[in-house]
Amino acid sequence: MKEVVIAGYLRTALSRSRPNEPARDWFCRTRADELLAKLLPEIIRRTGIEPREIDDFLVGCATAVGEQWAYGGRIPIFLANLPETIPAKFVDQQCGSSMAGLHIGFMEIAQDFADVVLCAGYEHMTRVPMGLTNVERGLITPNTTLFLNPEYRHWDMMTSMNMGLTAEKLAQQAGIPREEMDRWGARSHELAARARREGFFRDEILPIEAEQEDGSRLTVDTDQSIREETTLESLRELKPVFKKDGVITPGNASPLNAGASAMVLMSKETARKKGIRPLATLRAIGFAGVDPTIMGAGPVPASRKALEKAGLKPSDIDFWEINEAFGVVVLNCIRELGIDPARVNVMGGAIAIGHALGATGIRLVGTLARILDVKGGRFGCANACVGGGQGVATVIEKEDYPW
Amino acid sequence: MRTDYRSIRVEVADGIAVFRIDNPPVNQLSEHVVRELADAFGAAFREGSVRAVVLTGGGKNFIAGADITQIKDIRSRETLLELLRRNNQVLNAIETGPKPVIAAINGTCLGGGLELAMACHYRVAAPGVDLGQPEVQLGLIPGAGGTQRLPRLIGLPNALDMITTGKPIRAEKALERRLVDEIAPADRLVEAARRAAKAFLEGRMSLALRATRARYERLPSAAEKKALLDFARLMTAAKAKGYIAPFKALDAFERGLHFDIEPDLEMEAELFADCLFSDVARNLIGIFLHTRAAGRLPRIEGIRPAPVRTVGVLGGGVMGSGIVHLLVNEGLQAVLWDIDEKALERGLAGVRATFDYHLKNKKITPEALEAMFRERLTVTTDLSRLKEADLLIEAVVEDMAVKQKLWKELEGICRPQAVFATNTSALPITEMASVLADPGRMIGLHFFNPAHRMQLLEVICAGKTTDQTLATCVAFARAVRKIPIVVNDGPGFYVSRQLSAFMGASIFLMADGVDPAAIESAVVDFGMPMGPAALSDLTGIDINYRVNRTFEMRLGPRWKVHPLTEAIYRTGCYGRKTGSGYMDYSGPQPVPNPKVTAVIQDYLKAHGVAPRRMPASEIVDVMLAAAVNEAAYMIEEGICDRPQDMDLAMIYGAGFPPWRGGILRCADRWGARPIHGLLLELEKRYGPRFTPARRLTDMAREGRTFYPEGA
Repeated sequence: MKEVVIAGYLRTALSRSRPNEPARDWFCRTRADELLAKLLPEIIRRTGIEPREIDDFLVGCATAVGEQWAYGGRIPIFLANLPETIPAKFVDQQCGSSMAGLHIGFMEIAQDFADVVLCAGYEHMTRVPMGLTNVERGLITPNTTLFLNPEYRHWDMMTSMNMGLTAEKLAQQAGIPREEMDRWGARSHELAARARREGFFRDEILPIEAEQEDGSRLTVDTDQSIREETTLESLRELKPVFKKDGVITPGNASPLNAGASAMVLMSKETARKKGIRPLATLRAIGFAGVDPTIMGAGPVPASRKALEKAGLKPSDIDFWEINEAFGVVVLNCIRELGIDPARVNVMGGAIAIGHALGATGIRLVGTLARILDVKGGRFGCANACVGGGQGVATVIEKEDYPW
Repeated sequence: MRTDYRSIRVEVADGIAVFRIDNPPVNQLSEHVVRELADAFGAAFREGSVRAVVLTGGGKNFIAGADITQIKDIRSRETLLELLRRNNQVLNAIETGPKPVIAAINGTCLGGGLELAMACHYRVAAPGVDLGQPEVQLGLIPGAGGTQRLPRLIGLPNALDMITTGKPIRAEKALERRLVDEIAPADRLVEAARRAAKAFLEGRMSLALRATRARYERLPSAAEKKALLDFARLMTAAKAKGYIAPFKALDAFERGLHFDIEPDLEMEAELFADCLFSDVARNLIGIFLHTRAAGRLPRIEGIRPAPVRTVGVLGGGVMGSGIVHLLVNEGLQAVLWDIDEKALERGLAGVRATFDYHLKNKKITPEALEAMFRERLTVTTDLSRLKEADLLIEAVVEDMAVKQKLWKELEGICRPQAVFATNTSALPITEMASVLADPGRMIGLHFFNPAHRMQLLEVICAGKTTDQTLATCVAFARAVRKIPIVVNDGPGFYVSRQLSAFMGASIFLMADGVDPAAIESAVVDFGMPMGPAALSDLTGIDINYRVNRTFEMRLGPRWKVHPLTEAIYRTGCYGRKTGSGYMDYSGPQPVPNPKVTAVIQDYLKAHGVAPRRMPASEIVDVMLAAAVNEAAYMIEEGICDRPQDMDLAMIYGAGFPPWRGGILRCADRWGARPIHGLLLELEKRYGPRFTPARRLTDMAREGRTFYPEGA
């Protein structure tokens, strides 16, 4: 098996999506594939490779309907005017989509079927809202028998297809109180705001000039959802949104976002030959299925599998990036795996930074690799829960690359 | 709730109100209907017992559009904008209202009808109904949100196509594009709409998400919008010539399609006003209204036309076979007569050939075509088989003696009330009728080639044609969906003479050293389908020559054949049919025919004429002045008297650009005085063809116009 390294990582800022007030999204007039098309040539240039060296392109997206349909992944290639010799695959593992792309690329290179793989993800949650809206507009048509027939009752699809309700159920089952989740939310904003102030995100965000509703142009170079002014007190006042007497609020859940992310994987050998200094080495991957009504539990078995393959214990991991789809997901994972919370999401998480579903997997792994670099750590684990009841995880190692 | 509306029938059952719009004849969205709708919806939204509304139409239409007669005479921009604002308020109130409104589209749904349907939350359509925004055809754009709501529902590329061409789509296509949400059989349409209403009431569909203004999943990104509109502008510029509405529609897309629809609706209203107050829209609206009124002459008012079920067609040549096509296709019985079996065979083959296009494009199956022939077409060489015909249309060789002999024979065979119509394009009909015992039954029905496609039917009253004969023929024209323009007998009737005067003026310019190519492009740029040389080559230089000779003979020296015309005729190059005319057609691309070019050059040399550069506008002015002058002569001679009909005839029969309104509309805008002045000048330069008609001289002196309402 060949060793696989992360040779480059770049993303757009994440705008805040508001399907009910679309004009407030900084990317309201820019499609997700257009964002990605701006990213791709730039990451190729910054990594120091030639487009023709790319052996595969894997693009992830959670809601591949309407304008996010990508012709099997070829549309971003066409839009970026990359050579037609780059094959493509479209990867949908819902919120794990772009991490699944990394997993596929990892395996292709490890097994020596490819040498350089470009991975990407995108999502625009204003222009293509998630879930029910698409059912309403006929863009997705889940099989109704799942909702109606007795033999499927145990799937409880009404809960399984509503992420907020799955989070409510997880919080209840795990006995995690709202206060704890709100604290985590406030922490996320505080850490992300500090990281932004200190310029941490500057090196991973490609500024994008985007037309606004009034026709003006705005250079979007910072995440729209991070709020400096968020305090625990302000979060405590928010009302639950998914059920009466519930605990999940906009303050302890991730917002809706738009953005794109990209990553270049290659064999360590090639990186050495080219004199490219990798961000980190991919060590192991993990994926697992869980009860879809508590999909937020997914990261636990997925991380266990990845750690086992890497021959590591949770305590060996220096830094964690756990996707904050909901605060409860992180808190549950910390508790189940016995993680030191101080090592988790140290630059803030999705509650503040945002969660543009298809783009998230790469954002987590890329940010984690940069944290290992900045904070000085060896092993890192990134994971995410996945709608439909799954988890995905990736273990990376920061090595010395003596060339 | 209130149910005593003039044009809305209201029934409430089961918490659902059904509003049935009933505004005969075509369910126009007249002002009072809008007012009543506003009132009825207000009441339904207030009233607790009504939980949802189904909106449908009575009769064959849902709503066939706004009432153009109510807005065409608005002269104040503010009045118009106020009217549009009120309409928008009514539609917005429906769209953002508290209760679901379902459009049950029972029939034609055009213009304001579609805009209203798009403000509803759900659309159920009957199979096969047409939905569209045809406003550009009247020089307008949609004025009640059409440019903003349609792209939201079907995407900009589709909306762009529908709005800039004005072409409607069928319900089935509309379902594919999601303009309608469901198709239901006509007799269960309201039932389906009620079901949809219940789905909203039971929470299975969301009012907020369904509102068209809240839907932006098909709105283009900034980059897409720019790319699409840049492309559309190029395409439209290539096609639209003088039309401005398609560009205004593109402006509406470019300046609109914001997430907030409200300012976009106001912007659309402004663009609509720009269109309405343009000459182009006035011309096109005029044509639309005059087309509806064509043939409704005072002299036949109140006369009941005789029913026409069986039509005899004499002669199966090009015109005859086109006419037979028209008849059987429109459901009439046709009896095709020709001189012998061989001619008949050729005629039948000719009729079949006219259906090639329909077969190829699967507009009809071979089986259906055969069935249609079996049921509706009889062929015969025996004149007595025409005995039952209600109408006879003669299209045999253009020979007075042959035609008169045929009519004499038929007079002894046909029923006395049968109408005798000749499709002659040149012979005097009054003279043709003189051999009949009852010349009152004879009339001219001048079809244009190809008869089954050209919309115009020139109806020529001979000296003794009775009003009954005319009334029957006008009704017949309407029944076969032709536009009947009624004129009186005279050489070339109206269209041929008018076109000859217009296009024929080009010979004077050529003889004056103007490059024929410059004339062609000036005329094409003006908006005619082709220039005078191309038209001559198509119809035949020999034919045109003979027509000119006939005019000279019957109209006198003003129509004397020009020596250059004579010289060109003598080359023997008669146009496409001989392989060359003004142009040589032997190569892959037509090129100027050296023979004709040499003849022109020789003429210029012999007369000491130097090449002359003339601006396109001046070329067109000369030709148009000649045309206007001829029209004035024809009015003077009593050939015709209705300017709107004369303009329609040139638009439908000769391809005169509709957006210019017609020759007389152009003349009125130009003014009789300057035209008269130019004619006097041209008379000096080119001779008596340009001598102003007495009538035109009078008009210039008195400052009058052709149209009674003025320019």
